[in-house]
Amino acid sequence: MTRPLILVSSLLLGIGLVSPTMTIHPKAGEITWLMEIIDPISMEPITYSVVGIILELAEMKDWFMVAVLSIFSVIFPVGKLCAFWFYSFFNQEQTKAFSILKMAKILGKFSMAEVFLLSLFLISLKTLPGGTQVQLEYGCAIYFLSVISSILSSMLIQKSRSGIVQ
Amino acid sequence: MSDLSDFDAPKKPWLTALVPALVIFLAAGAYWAFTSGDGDRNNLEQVGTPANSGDKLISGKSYYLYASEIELYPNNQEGKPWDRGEDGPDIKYQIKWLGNEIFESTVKDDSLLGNWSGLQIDLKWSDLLGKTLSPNEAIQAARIRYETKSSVEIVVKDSDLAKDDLAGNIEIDLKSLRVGKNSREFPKDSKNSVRNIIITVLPIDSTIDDLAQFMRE
Repeated sequence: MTRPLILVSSLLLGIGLVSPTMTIHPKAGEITWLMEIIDPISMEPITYSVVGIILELAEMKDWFMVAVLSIFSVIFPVGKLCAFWFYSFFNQEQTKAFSILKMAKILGKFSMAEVFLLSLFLISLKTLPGGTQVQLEYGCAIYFLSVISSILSSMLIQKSRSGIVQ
Repeated sequence: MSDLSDFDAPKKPWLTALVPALVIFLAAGAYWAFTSGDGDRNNLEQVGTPANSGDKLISGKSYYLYASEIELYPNNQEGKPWDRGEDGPDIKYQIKWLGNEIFESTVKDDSLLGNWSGLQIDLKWSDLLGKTLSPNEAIQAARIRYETKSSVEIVVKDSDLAKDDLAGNIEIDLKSLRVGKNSREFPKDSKNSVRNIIITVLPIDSTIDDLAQFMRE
Protein backbone atom coordinates (compact mmCIF):
# COMPACT_ATOMS: atom_id res chain seq x y z
CA MET A 1 0.00 0.00 0.00
CA THR A 2 2.89 2.35 0.77
CA ARG A 3 4.45 2.48 -2.68
CA PRO A 4 1.22 3.15 -4.63
CA LEU A 5 0.51 5.92 -2.14
CA ILE A 6 3.98 7.38 -2.73
CA LEU A 7 3.33 7.23 -6.48
CA VAL A 8 -0.04 8.96 -6.06
CA SER A 9 1.60 11.62 -3.90
CA SER A 10 4.32 12.09 -6.55
CA LEU A 11 1.74 12.38 -9.31
CA LEU A 12 -0.25 14.94 -7.34
CA LEU A 13 2.90 16.86 -6.41
CA GLY A 14 3.95 17.03 -10.07
CA ILE A 15 0.57 18.41 -11.14
CA GLY A 16 0.28 20.60 -8.04
CA LEU A 17 3.59 22.31 -8.76
CA VAL A 18 2.62 23.47 -12.26
CA SER A 19 -1.17 23.87 -12.04
CA PRO A 20 -2.72 27.23 -11.05
CA THR A 21 -2.32 27.74 -7.31
CA MET A 22 -3.67 31.23 -6.85
CA THR A 23 -5.05 34.14 -8.83
CA ILE A 24 -4.40 37.72 -7.80
CA HIS A 25 -7.15 40.18 -8.76
CA PRO A 26 -5.49 43.62 -8.53
CA LYS A 27 -7.67 46.52 -7.41
CA ALA A 28 -6.86 50.16 -6.77
CA GLY A 29 -9.82 51.09 -4.59
CA GLU A 30 -11.94 53.94 -5.93
CA ILE A 31 -9.72 54.48 -8.98
CA THR A 32 -9.71 50.86 -10.17
CA TRP A 33 -11.58 51.81 -13.36
CA LEU A 34 -9.05 54.60 -14.02
CA MET A 35 -6.08 52.26 -13.54
CA GLU A 36 -7.75 49.84 -15.95
CA ILE A 37 -7.66 52.62 -18.56
CA ILE A 38 -4.20 53.99 -17.82
CA ASP A 39 -2.39 50.72 -17.16
CA PRO A 40 -4.65 47.82 -18.16
CA ILE A 41 -1.85 45.25 -18.16
CA SER A 42 -1.00 45.77 -14.49
CA MET A 43 -4.70 45.46 -13.58
CA GLU A 44 -5.26 42.10 -15.24
CA PRO A 45 -5.76 39.12 -12.92
CA ILE A 46 -2.59 37.05 -12.70
CA THR A 47 -2.61 33.31 -12.04
CA TYR A 48 0.45 31.70 -10.51
CA SER A 49 1.55 28.13 -9.99
CA VAL A 50 4.23 27.23 -7.42
CA VAL A 51 6.77 26.91 -10.24
CA GLY A 52 5.36 30.12 -11.78
CA ILE A 53 5.96 32.04 -8.54
CA ILE A 54 9.56 30.78 -8.45
CA LEU A 55 10.11 31.78 -12.10
CA GLU A 56 8.55 35.21 -11.46
CA LEU A 57 10.89 35.73 -8.50
CA ALA A 58 13.81 34.64 -10.68
CA GLU A 59 12.82 37.27 -13.26
CA MET A 60 12.84 39.83 -10.46
CA LYS A 61 16.30 38.52 -9.51
CA ASP A 62 15.16 37.81 -5.96
CA TRP A 63 17.55 34.89 -5.70
CA PHE A 64 17.18 34.44 -1.94
CA MET A 65 13.43 33.85 -2.24
CA VAL A 66 13.99 31.66 -5.31
CA ALA A 67 16.38 29.50 -3.29
CA VAL A 68 14.10 29.36 -0.23
CA LEU A 69 10.97 28.45 -2.21
CA SER A 70 12.77 26.00 -4.50
CA ILE A 71 14.46 24.16 -1.64
CA PHE A 72 11.56 24.03 0.81
CA SER A 73 8.59 23.72 -1.53
CA VAL A 74 10.04 21.63 -4.36
CA ILE A 75 13.36 19.92 -3.61
CA PHE A 76 12.63 18.78 -0.05
CA PRO A 77 9.10 17.43 -0.78
CA VAL A 78 10.48 15.60 -3.85
CA GLY A 79 13.48 14.36 -1.85
CA LYS A 80 11.21 13.14 0.95
CA LEU A 81 9.12 11.07 -1.49
CA CYS A 82 12.30 9.66 -3.08
CA ALA A 83 13.58 8.69 0.37
CA PHE A 84 10.26 7.00 1.25
CA TRP A 85 10.34 5.09 -2.04
CA PHE A 86 13.97 4.06 -1.52
CA TYR A 87 13.20 2.95 2.02
CA SER A 88 10.32 0.78 0.85
CA PHE A 89 12.78 -1.58 -0.90
CA PHE A 90 14.71 -2.42 2.24
CA ASN A 91 14.11 -4.85 5.00
CA GLN A 92 13.19 -2.48 7.79
CA GLU A 93 15.50 -4.25 10.25
CA GLN A 94 18.57 -3.20 8.31
CA THR A 95 20.58 -0.31 9.69
CA LYS A 96 20.69 1.29 6.23
CA ALA A 97 16.91 1.40 6.27
CA PHE A 98 17.11 3.30 9.57
CA SER A 99 19.35 5.97 8.13
CA ILE A 100 17.13 6.40 5.04
CA LEU A 101 14.02 6.77 7.19
CA LYS A 102 15.88 9.22 9.40
CA MET A 103 16.86 11.23 6.31
CA ALA A 104 13.27 11.17 5.08
CA LYS A 105 12.09 12.46 8.46
CA ILE A 106 14.64 15.29 8.37
CA LEU A 107 13.58 16.19 4.83
CA GLY A 108 9.96 16.08 5.97
CA LYS A 109 10.68 18.46 8.83
CA PHE A 110 12.39 20.92 6.52
CA SER A 111 9.76 20.59 3.82
CA MET A 112 7.70 23.76 3.85
CA ALA A 113 4.82 22.34 1.84
CA GLU A 114 2.34 22.46 4.73
CA VAL A 115 3.45 25.94 5.82
CA PHE A 116 3.27 27.12 2.22
CA LEU A 117 -0.34 25.91 1.96
CA LEU A 118 -1.28 27.50 5.26
CA SER A 119 0.23 30.82 4.21
CA LEU A 120 -1.73 30.65 0.94
CA PHE A 121 -4.97 30.13 2.87
CA LEU A 122 -4.16 33.06 5.17
CA ILE A 123 -3.35 35.36 2.24
CA SER A 124 -6.62 34.41 0.55
CA LEU A 125 -8.56 35.33 3.69
CA LYS A 126 -6.83 38.66 4.17
CA THR A 127 -8.01 41.77 2.33
CA LEU A 128 -5.06 43.37 0.60
CA PRO A 129 -4.65 47.14 -0.05
CA GLY A 130 -7.05 48.65 -2.59
CA GLY A 131 -9.33 45.63 -2.31
CA THR A 132 -6.89 43.34 -4.13
CA GLN A 133 -8.02 39.76 -3.73
CA VAL A 134 -6.18 36.47 -3.79
CA GLN A 135 -8.26 33.55 -4.99
CA LEU A 136 -7.03 30.01 -4.45
CA GLU A 137 -7.15 27.77 -7.51
CA TYR A 138 -7.50 24.02 -7.92
CA GLY A 139 -3.70 23.59 -7.99
CA CYS A 140 -3.73 24.43 -4.30
CA ALA A 141 -6.14 21.54 -3.62
CA ILE A 142 -3.97 19.15 -5.67
CA TYR A 143 -0.87 20.27 -3.76
CA PHE A 144 -2.83 19.82 -0.51
CA LEU A 145 -3.81 16.25 -1.51
CA SER A 146 -0.17 15.54 -2.32
CA VAL A 147 0.85 16.71 1.16
CA ILE A 148 -1.88 14.55 2.75
CA SER A 149 -0.89 11.42 0.81
CA SER A 150 2.75 12.08 1.66
CA ILE A 151 1.87 12.27 5.37
CA LEU A 152 -0.15 9.04 5.05
CA SER A 153 2.82 7.34 3.37
CA SER A 154 5.03 8.45 6.25
CA MET A 155 2.48 7.11 8.77
CA LEU A 156 2.24 3.74 6.97
CA ILE A 157 6.02 3.41 6.95
CA GLN A 158 6.23 4.21 10.67
CA LYS A 159 3.40 1.78 11.39
CA SER A 160 5.13 -1.08 9.55
CA ARG A 161 8.38 -0.19 11.31
CA SER A 162 6.81 -0.24 14.79
CA GLY A 163 5.12 -3.56 13.93
CA ILE A 164 8.50 -5.09 13.16
CA VAL A 165 10.11 -3.68 16.31
CA GLN A 166 7.35 -5.20 18.46
CA MET B 1 3.75 -4.36 -0.56
CA SER B 2 6.29 -2.62 1.54
CA ASP B 3 7.41 -5.72 3.42
CA LEU B 4 9.76 -7.02 0.75
CA SER B 5 12.70 -9.21 1.67
CA ASP B 6 16.27 -8.42 0.66
CA PHE B 7 15.86 -11.01 -2.09
CA ASP B 8 13.17 -8.84 -3.70
CA ALA B 9 15.21 -5.71 -3.45
CA PRO B 10 16.61 -4.35 -6.72
CA LYS B 11 20.33 -4.66 -7.45
CA LYS B 12 20.84 -0.92 -7.58
CA PRO B 13 18.16 0.37 -5.19
CA TRP B 14 19.46 3.94 -5.24
CA LEU B 15 18.35 4.15 -8.87
CA THR B 16 14.77 3.33 -7.89
CA ALA B 17 14.82 6.35 -5.57
CA LEU B 18 14.50 8.44 -8.71
CA VAL B 19 11.13 6.87 -9.57
CA PRO B 20 9.05 9.43 -7.58
CA ALA B 21 11.13 12.27 -9.06
CA LEU B 22 10.51 10.86 -12.53
CA VAL B 23 6.76 10.54 -11.84
CA ILE B 24 6.68 14.14 -10.57
CA PHE B 25 8.56 15.37 -13.63
CA LEU B 26 6.35 13.41 -16.06
CA ALA B 27 3.13 14.50 -14.33
CA ALA B 28 4.23 18.15 -14.42
CA GLY B 29 5.28 17.85 -18.07
CA ALA B 30 2.06 16.10 -19.09
CA TYR B 31 -0.08 18.68 -17.28
CA TRP B 32 1.85 21.53 -18.86
CA ALA B 33 1.54 19.95 -22.34
CA PHE B 34 -2.23 19.47 -21.96
CA THR B 35 -2.93 22.94 -20.64
CA SER B 36 -0.47 25.13 -22.55
CA GLY B 37 -2.32 27.54 -24.81
CA ASP B 38 -5.17 28.09 -22.35
CA GLY B 39 -3.60 31.35 -21.12
CA ASP B 40 -6.04 33.53 -22.98
CA ARG B 41 -9.01 32.18 -21.06
CA ASN B 42 -8.48 34.47 -18.09
CA ASN B 43 -9.84 37.62 -19.65
CA LEU B 44 -11.09 40.59 -17.70
CA GLU B 45 -14.72 40.50 -16.80
CA GLN B 46 -16.57 42.65 -19.27
CA VAL B 47 -19.22 44.99 -17.96
CA GLY B 48 -21.21 46.81 -20.58
CA THR B 49 -21.82 46.45 -24.27
CA PRO B 50 -18.89 45.56 -26.46
CA ALA B 51 -18.33 48.06 -29.29
CA ASN B 52 -16.15 48.03 -32.34
CA SER B 53 -14.55 50.93 -34.11
CA GLY B 54 -16.59 51.63 -37.25
CA ASP B 55 -19.95 50.48 -35.90
CA LYS B 56 -22.95 52.56 -36.94
CA LEU B 57 -24.65 54.61 -34.25
CA ILE B 58 -27.86 53.08 -32.95
CA SER B 59 -30.98 55.20 -32.81
CA GLY B 60 -32.03 56.07 -29.27
CA LYS B 61 -28.69 55.09 -27.76
CA SER B 62 -26.50 57.54 -25.83
CA TYR B 63 -22.91 58.36 -26.80
CA TYR B 64 -19.90 60.31 -25.61
CA LEU B 65 -18.78 62.72 -28.33
CA TYR B 66 -15.68 64.88 -28.29
CA ALA B 67 -13.10 66.34 -30.67
CA SER B 68 -9.90 64.41 -30.10
CA GLU B 69 -7.98 66.61 -32.53
CA ILE B 70 -8.53 69.99 -34.18
CA GLU B 71 -6.13 71.53 -36.66
CA LEU B 72 -6.43 75.17 -37.73
CA TYR B 73 -5.14 76.90 -40.81
CA PRO B 74 -2.18 79.24 -40.17
CA ASN B 75 -4.40 82.30 -40.70
CA ASN B 76 -7.71 83.27 -39.19
CA GLN B 77 -10.98 83.92 -41.04
CA GLU B 78 -9.79 87.37 -42.08
CA GLY B 79 -6.61 85.90 -43.51
CA LYS B 80 -4.47 87.43 -40.74
CA PRO B 81 -2.07 85.56 -38.41
CA TRP B 82 -3.57 84.33 -35.14
CA ASP B 83 -3.05 86.50 -32.06
CA ARG B 84 -1.59 89.28 -34.26
CA GLY B 85 1.32 87.00 -35.18
CA GLU B 86 2.75 86.98 -31.65
CA ASP B 87 1.67 83.48 -30.67
CA GLY B 88 -0.34 80.62 -32.08
CA PRO B 89 -4.07 80.41 -31.40
CA ASP B 90 -5.36 79.18 -28.04
CA ILE B 91 -7.75 76.54 -29.30
CA LYS B 92 -10.93 75.53 -27.54
CA TYR B 93 -14.23 74.18 -28.78
CA GLN B 94 -17.84 73.97 -27.72
CA ILE B 95 -20.39 71.35 -28.66
CA LYS B 96 -23.98 72.38 -29.24
CA TRP B 97 -26.77 69.86 -29.51
CA LEU B 98 -30.45 70.69 -30.09
CA GLY B 99 -29.57 74.39 -29.79
CA ASN B 100 -27.91 74.07 -26.40
CA GLU B 101 -24.25 74.27 -25.51
CA ILE B 102 -23.62 70.96 -23.78
CA PHE B 103 -19.84 70.85 -23.58
CA GLU B 104 -16.83 73.17 -23.58
CA SER B 105 -13.29 71.90 -23.85
CA THR B 106 -10.17 73.06 -22.08
CA VAL B 107 -7.91 75.54 -23.91
CA LYS B 108 -4.81 74.34 -25.78
CA ASP B 109 -2.45 77.29 -25.71
CA ASP B 110 -0.40 78.54 -28.66
CA SER B 111 -0.99 75.70 -31.04
CA LEU B 112 -2.37 75.09 -34.51
CA LEU B 113 -3.01 71.49 -33.55
CA GLY B 114 -4.96 70.75 -30.40
CA ASN B 115 -5.44 67.29 -28.91
CA TRP B 116 -7.90 66.19 -26.26
CA SER B 117 -7.78 62.70 -24.76
CA GLY B 118 -11.36 62.72 -23.55
CA LEU B 119 -10.13 61.93 -20.07
CA GLN B 120 -9.28 64.53 -17.48
CA ILE B 121 -9.12 64.54 -13.72
CA ASP B 122 -8.83 67.78 -11.81
CA LEU B 123 -7.33 66.96 -8.44
CA LYS B 124 -6.83 69.47 -5.66
CA TRP B 125 -4.68 69.04 -2.56
CA SER B 126 -7.82 68.68 -0.50
CA ASP B 127 -8.83 65.71 -2.67
CA LEU B 128 -5.96 63.73 -1.18
CA LEU B 129 -8.05 63.44 1.99
CA GLY B 130 -10.52 61.36 0.08
CA LYS B 131 -12.16 61.84 -3.30
CA THR B 132 -14.40 59.47 -5.13
CA LEU B 133 -13.95 59.35 -8.87
CA SER B 134 -16.39 57.94 -11.35
CA PRO B 135 -15.85 57.46 -15.09
CA ASN B 136 -18.58 60.04 -15.78
CA GLU B 137 -16.63 62.71 -13.89
CA ALA B 138 -13.37 61.99 -15.64
CA ILE B 139 -14.59 61.63 -19.22
CA GLN B 140 -14.51 65.07 -20.79
CA ALA B 141 -17.03 64.77 -23.60
CA ALA B 142 -20.51 65.80 -24.63
CA ARG B 143 -23.25 63.30 -23.95
CA ILE B 144 -25.71 62.99 -26.78
CA ARG B 145 -28.48 60.63 -27.81
CA TYR B 146 -28.41 59.52 -31.42
CA GLU B 147 -31.41 60.22 -33.59
CA THR B 148 -31.20 59.82 -37.35
CA LYS B 149 -32.10 63.39 -38.24
CA SER B 150 -30.17 65.19 -35.52
CA SER B 151 -26.83 66.95 -35.75
CA VAL B 152 -24.26 68.58 -33.50
CA GLU B 153 -22.54 71.89 -33.94
CA ILE B 154 -18.88 72.23 -33.07
CA VAL B 155 -17.83 75.81 -32.48
CA VAL B 156 -14.05 76.20 -32.61
CA LYS B 157 -12.56 79.35 -31.13
CA ASP B 158 -9.27 81.08 -30.47
CA SER B 159 -9.59 81.85 -26.78
CA ASP B 160 -8.63 85.41 -25.86
CA LEU B 161 -8.84 87.41 -22.66
CA ALA B 162 -10.99 90.09 -24.21
CA LYS B 163 -13.08 88.32 -26.82
CA ASP B 164 -12.85 84.84 -28.30
CA ASP B 165 -12.25 84.76 -32.07
CA LEU B 166 -14.32 82.32 -34.03
CA ALA B 167 -12.25 79.85 -36.05
CA GLY B 168 -15.09 77.82 -37.46
CA ASN B 169 -18.61 76.72 -36.90
CA ILE B 170 -19.00 73.15 -38.06
CA GLU B 171 -22.24 71.26 -38.26
CA ILE B 172 -21.90 67.48 -38.20
CA ASP B 173 -24.75 65.23 -39.20
CA LEU B 174 -24.86 62.47 -36.60
CA LYS B 175 -25.88 60.01 -39.32
CA SER B 176 -22.43 60.40 -40.88
CA LEU B 177 -20.60 59.42 -37.69
CA ARG B 178 -19.35 55.96 -36.66
CA VAL B 179 -18.19 54.61 -33.31
CA GLY B 180 -14.53 55.51 -32.87
CA LYS B 181 -12.64 58.25 -34.65
CA ASN B 182 -14.22 60.25 -37.48
CA SER B 183 -11.95 62.55 -39.44
CA ARG B 184 -13.33 65.53 -41.41
CA GLU B 185 -11.40 68.06 -43.52
CA PHE B 186 -12.65 71.51 -44.44
CA PRO B 187 -11.51 74.10 -47.00
CA LYS B 188 -10.31 77.51 -45.92
CA ASP B 189 -12.74 80.34 -46.57
CA SER B 190 -13.87 83.59 -45.06
CA LYS B 191 -16.03 81.75 -42.50
CA ASN B 192 -13.76 78.83 -41.69
CA SER B 193 -10.20 78.41 -40.45
CA VAL B 194 -10.53 74.80 -39.29
CA ARG B 195 -8.44 72.51 -41.50
CA ASN B 196 -9.19 69.18 -39.88
CA ILE B 197 -11.22 67.82 -37.02
CA ILE B 198 -11.28 64.32 -35.56
CA ILE B 199 -14.47 63.52 -33.69
CA THR B 200 -14.46 60.54 -31.35
CA VAL B 201 -17.74 58.82 -30.58
CA LEU B 202 -18.02 56.19 -27.83
CA PRO B 203 -21.11 54.40 -26.58
CA ILE B 204 -21.80 55.55 -23.01
CA ASP B 205 -22.20 51.94 -21.89
CA SER B 206 -18.83 50.94 -23.39
CA THR B 207 -16.74 48.45 -21.53
CA ILE B 208 -13.72 49.86 -19.73
CA ASP B 209 -11.57 47.92 -22.20
CA ASP B 210 -13.23 49.60 -25.19
CA LEU B 211 -12.96 53.07 -23.65
CA ALA B 212 -9.29 52.45 -22.92
CA GLN B 213 -8.72 51.18 -26.46
CA PHE B 214 -10.49 54.12 -28.15
CA MET B 215 -8.68 56.67 -26.01
CA ARG B 216 -5.29 55.10 -26.68
CA GLU B 217 -5.81 54.99 -30.46
